[in-house]
Amino acid sequence: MRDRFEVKIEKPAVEMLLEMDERDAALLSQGIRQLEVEPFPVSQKERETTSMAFAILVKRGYQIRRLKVQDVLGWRVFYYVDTRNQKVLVKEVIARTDDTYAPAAPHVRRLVENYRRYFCREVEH
Amino acid sequence: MDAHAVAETEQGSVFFLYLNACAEVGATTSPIDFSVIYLSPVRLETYEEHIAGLTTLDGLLDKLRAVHPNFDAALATAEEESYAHSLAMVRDGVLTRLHAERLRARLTQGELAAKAGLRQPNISRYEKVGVAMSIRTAKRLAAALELADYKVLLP
Repeated sequence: MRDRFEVKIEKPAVEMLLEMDERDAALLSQGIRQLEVEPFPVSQKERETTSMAFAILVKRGYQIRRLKVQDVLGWRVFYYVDTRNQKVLVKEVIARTDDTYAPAAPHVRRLVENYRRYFCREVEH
Repeated sequence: MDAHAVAETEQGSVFFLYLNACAEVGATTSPIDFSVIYLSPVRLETYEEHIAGLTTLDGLLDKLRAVHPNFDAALATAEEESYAHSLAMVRDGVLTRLHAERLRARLTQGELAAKAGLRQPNISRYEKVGVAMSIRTAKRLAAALELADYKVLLP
């Protein structure tokens, strides 16, 4: 990992961050800021989280190896690491309790739609 | 009968086709009358266009500053909390002190290597838990990270 990644944030994540209280927004911003230099989870045990949304995406056949998730406080941050363009795209920031196996959950629908529109065609293939 | 159809072309354009078709069942008339056809192209955004339009990190921080007047102070506190969490991980043997200090300094491995006069793969190796480094290397890294005591970097 030689170069700094450029972090970009999707609209749903921005809206969620703007709705939070100051402390949570600051801690999440700090977590997102660290993705510039360290986009890959440090350790399986401590930093990487298994998301229920991942299980749904895998079941539907999406290649999600570059989609990552990190937990900060009671929040879950989904982001995509685009190593080819040296970018980190923060897709979703949701409350940890909102991450469910329900395929119709709003964040799952947005992730699927995002994958269908951009990553399956433009990046993964 | 009303029919809607969406077809995607190889160029990435979508044509929305609305067929106001009249179905008549009878031996002497055509079953479908294509009397009204609306055709309007909708251009799909490419991946590059999509990421170009997203909010940058600086843009996000500016938006948060507009919402929370004391956001910079909260962010400084969050940095300290994050560093304290990293040190706890160092104590638990999950993270090396070099890694924690690099994250605090917000440097990539390549940037730290350039500052310390080392190679990036060496930084990657030293960040693995339990990997030894020489005192000379520890001093160079401590100087690059502006640490007073190089000994904290030794495993």
